[in-house]
Amino acid sequence: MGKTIICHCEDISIEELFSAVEQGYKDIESIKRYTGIATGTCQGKCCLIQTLRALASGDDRSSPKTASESAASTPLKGIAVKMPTIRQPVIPARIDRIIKAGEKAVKKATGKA
Amino acid sequence: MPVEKNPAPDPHSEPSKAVFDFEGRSLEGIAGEPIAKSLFRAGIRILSYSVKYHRPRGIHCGRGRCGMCHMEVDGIPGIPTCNTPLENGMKIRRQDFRPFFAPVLTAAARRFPLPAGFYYRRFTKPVFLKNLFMDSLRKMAGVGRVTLDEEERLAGIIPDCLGTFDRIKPHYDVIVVGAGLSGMSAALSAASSVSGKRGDASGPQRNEAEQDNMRILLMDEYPNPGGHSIGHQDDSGLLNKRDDLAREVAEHPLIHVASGTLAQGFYPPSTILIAPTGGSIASAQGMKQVTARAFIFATGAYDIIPLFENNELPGIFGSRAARLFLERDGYSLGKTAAVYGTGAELERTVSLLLSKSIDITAVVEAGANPRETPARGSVPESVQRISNAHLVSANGKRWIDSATLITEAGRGERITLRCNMLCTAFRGQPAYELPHQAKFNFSLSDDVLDEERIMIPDEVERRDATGTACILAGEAAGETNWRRKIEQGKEAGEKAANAASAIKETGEKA
Amino acid sequence: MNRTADMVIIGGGVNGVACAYYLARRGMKNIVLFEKGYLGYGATGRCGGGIRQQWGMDENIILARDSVRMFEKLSHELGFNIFFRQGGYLILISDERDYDLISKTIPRQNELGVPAELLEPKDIASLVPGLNLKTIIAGAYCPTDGTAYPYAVLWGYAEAAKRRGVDIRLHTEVLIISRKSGGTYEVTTTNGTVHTPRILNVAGAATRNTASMLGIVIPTKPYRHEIAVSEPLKSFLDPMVISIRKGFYFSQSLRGEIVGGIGDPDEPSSSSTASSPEFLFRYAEALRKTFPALGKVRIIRQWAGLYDVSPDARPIIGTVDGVDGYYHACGFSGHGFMLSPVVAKLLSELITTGKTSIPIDSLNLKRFSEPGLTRDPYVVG
Repeated sequence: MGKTIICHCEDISIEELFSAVEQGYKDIESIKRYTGIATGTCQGKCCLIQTLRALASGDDRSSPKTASESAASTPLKGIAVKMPTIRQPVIPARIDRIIKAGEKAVKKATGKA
Repeated sequence: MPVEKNPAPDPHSEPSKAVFDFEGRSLEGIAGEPIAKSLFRAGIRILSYSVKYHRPRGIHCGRGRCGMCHMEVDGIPGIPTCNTPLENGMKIRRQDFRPFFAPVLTAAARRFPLPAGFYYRRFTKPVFLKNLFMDSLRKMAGVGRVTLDEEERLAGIIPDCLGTFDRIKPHYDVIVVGAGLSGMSAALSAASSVSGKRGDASGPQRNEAEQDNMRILLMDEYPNPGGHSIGHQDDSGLLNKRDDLAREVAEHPLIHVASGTLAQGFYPPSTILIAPTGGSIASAQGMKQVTARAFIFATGAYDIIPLFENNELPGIFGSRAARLFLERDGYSLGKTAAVYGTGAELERTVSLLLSKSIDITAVVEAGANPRETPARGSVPESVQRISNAHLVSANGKRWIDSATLITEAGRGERITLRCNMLCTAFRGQPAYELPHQAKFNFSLSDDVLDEERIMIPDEVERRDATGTACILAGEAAGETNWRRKIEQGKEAGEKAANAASAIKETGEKA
Repeated sequence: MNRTADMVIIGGGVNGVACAYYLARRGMKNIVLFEKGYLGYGATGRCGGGIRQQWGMDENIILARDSVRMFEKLSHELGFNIFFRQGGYLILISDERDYDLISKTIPRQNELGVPAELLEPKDIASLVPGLNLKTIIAGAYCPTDGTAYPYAVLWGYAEAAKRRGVDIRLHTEVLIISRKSGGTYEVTTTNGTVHTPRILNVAGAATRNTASMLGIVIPTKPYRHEIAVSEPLKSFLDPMVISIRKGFYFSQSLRGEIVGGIGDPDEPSSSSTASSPEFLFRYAEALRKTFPALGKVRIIRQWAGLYDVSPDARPIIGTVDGVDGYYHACGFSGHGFMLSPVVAKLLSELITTGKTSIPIDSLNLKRFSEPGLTRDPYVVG
């Protein structure tokens, strides 16, 4: 316990986010892939905005304070603080439900179950 | 047309008991209610564990989005138990399939935090160590499992598309995604603006020809329209307006209301992929591609839980999730709540919790410079208020038992509040998936308070080369005031109808 | 930025960064690499990560074999785990024609040192339990094939290259290349101009456009190929499973996700990287048919990338007659990632010594001006 988890699907702490930036992974697409943030089951619905906030507010990693205290430096603005590509599907889609609703009904009519 | 309740259970019918198996224990719940609710009643609150640090996770977002409540049900991995109905005889278990050495690695990872990407840089040599390391990582990775015993059990099942979903046509003039206040308002104004023949009949007795007349599709993933305006509201004006709008869209001859229908993706220039929500987990429901000349995304907003220590501990959730648990599912996850937030959303949430007889330890107003400081509304003076505070941690082993905050925006004294529920209530993040897929750009808002910074769309309307329009409305456009949401929906509807008829005319000329 | 360089590399994909690394290792100084987005923004970051040696033509078998030998040592060499896992490649055979072709090719693969073997359906069943073998008559399996994490390969090479002094410029697009007197090139980018005697053009599907700035005509065409990935699952699938005939493949990544794709024979050439619902339907159907238990698994993400396809689906590697100091590698037709270590190493040899340790003359651009093209029947997609 005692951790600030920024991405709970992949179990990534805020320290790990800043460590990736320190290692030179500075745009959101690279950060995502290097750390795993926003690549899990929720695809960023719970973590992406926190990640962008944290990057924008700078590297005050001990406790993510109010922006009023850390807004002074935003070294990553413009590179990191950008929405990564949001892909389809919006929520996970089961493979046996990725069927065209109309088409199978036609097969049913022709007797092929 | 009457709003057909898609797969969701009818709340007015007699509840029927369901017996289910949870990891070898036989438990009882109510058929049709969310699996997580039945588990909660039976005392099962930990629904999953995280992959690396093995942290407990409970019900969280209430919308099948966050993954914390995903469990294996009848051999199917990753079932969101927060919004999947319980069925009699279900076999439910946590997806906690760890190799024997996992506890050692978990303990090590908790004790010695490793920098990001350590797994790229450690144990790259010698070969035997690298292979052992990769093999261990591989065994640790993954959540759900694939069971091979029931071959083709689900393959080839005919999709049972239920009710309204089955009748959704492949093309509409305007598609409105999200039937909240702005979405309903948008559908109505689009309907009154589209040119052409109006259908004559209304009411429940509609034939196929009348279905063909419907030019506007209004879809929502929930069984009922209203979005986040469901249930208790301080403002009776809002409730009356919501009910009026719901009635009007249901009766309008040009509007096809498709409840329980989820937009799974926008594929430019003009296709949306939709799927029915709910229904039995064993059914293969199928999906449809629908096209339109104009789209309105009135998809609302998400809760964003602020960053503080243990912010994903079970018992912590956002205000929108709280509304779903209390109003849609009819249960509370705790008896004593601390509420942390700002502005109207904070007041609304406190009022909601009080209306459900939940004790409020304290209402904590975040930060020194919130975006808005509204009237205190109906919240009684007796409720303890702590202003200008900063929440630093949630505490508890398997469920939250207290929250720690620091006053004076993090510079003052440390206060620990006892609570078994922590509700965060901030302005929501506009749902960005469909708009981003429709090429909208987003920028981080420059609010002073970190907790209030969200990604806001740079514009609310886009047209591509073919003239197809995509318009944002309501909370998806960043609007939080309900009257303005309705106004905005109205404008969006007019614009969409105009764009649709412009494309149609161009098409007819060609 | 206004400067000179000994070498300009265009493209921050795996071929670009790997070649930068091998050139630096050979002692070349002052190398600049331009990438218009982030590392792996193009095909490398969008590929399935498969690495196989089962090919039809000697040239491909040899290149892939040597590539695998390099991949095996790469984590150690770069000090960066590329997550190369040799779970094998299982090619599913469902018709006599493929059976004939593959059973005739395996002896040649074995001669060249690739341990491929023919499997009967019962062997396939024990190798990958859960496969639907109703229409499968045989399989070809090579246990030393496998997968790597494309980004890790890219980052590993990039970090090693940077340590050796390579200047990697991200978010920098090449706009104009012009030849100057004295045999140098002026490369104008969105972030300034560089003068250089040598250019390596490895820009994936954009290589053709970059080459045209120098009047070089490359007969490749971009084709969109789509991929989908599932939620992470406990590991259960060792090899990459592919069907050459259907252009269908899937494997389980080290993180547990099922990553796979399927080609569309009717896909027109285009530079679009938009996803489509049609792909989701086609892929889901193929997956359900091939591995029914995967019907219960959920897709969490789909995306698309470009194959740079040459007329004979073989790569175009080397120099161009009459354009001194210019080198390129393109037209990998969907197989660039798996060949990248060996291709990058050969390019570094070619650039620094004018010779290569494995002959690659047959892959020169000029083959297209001669009659008769040979296509490798093992090409997928």
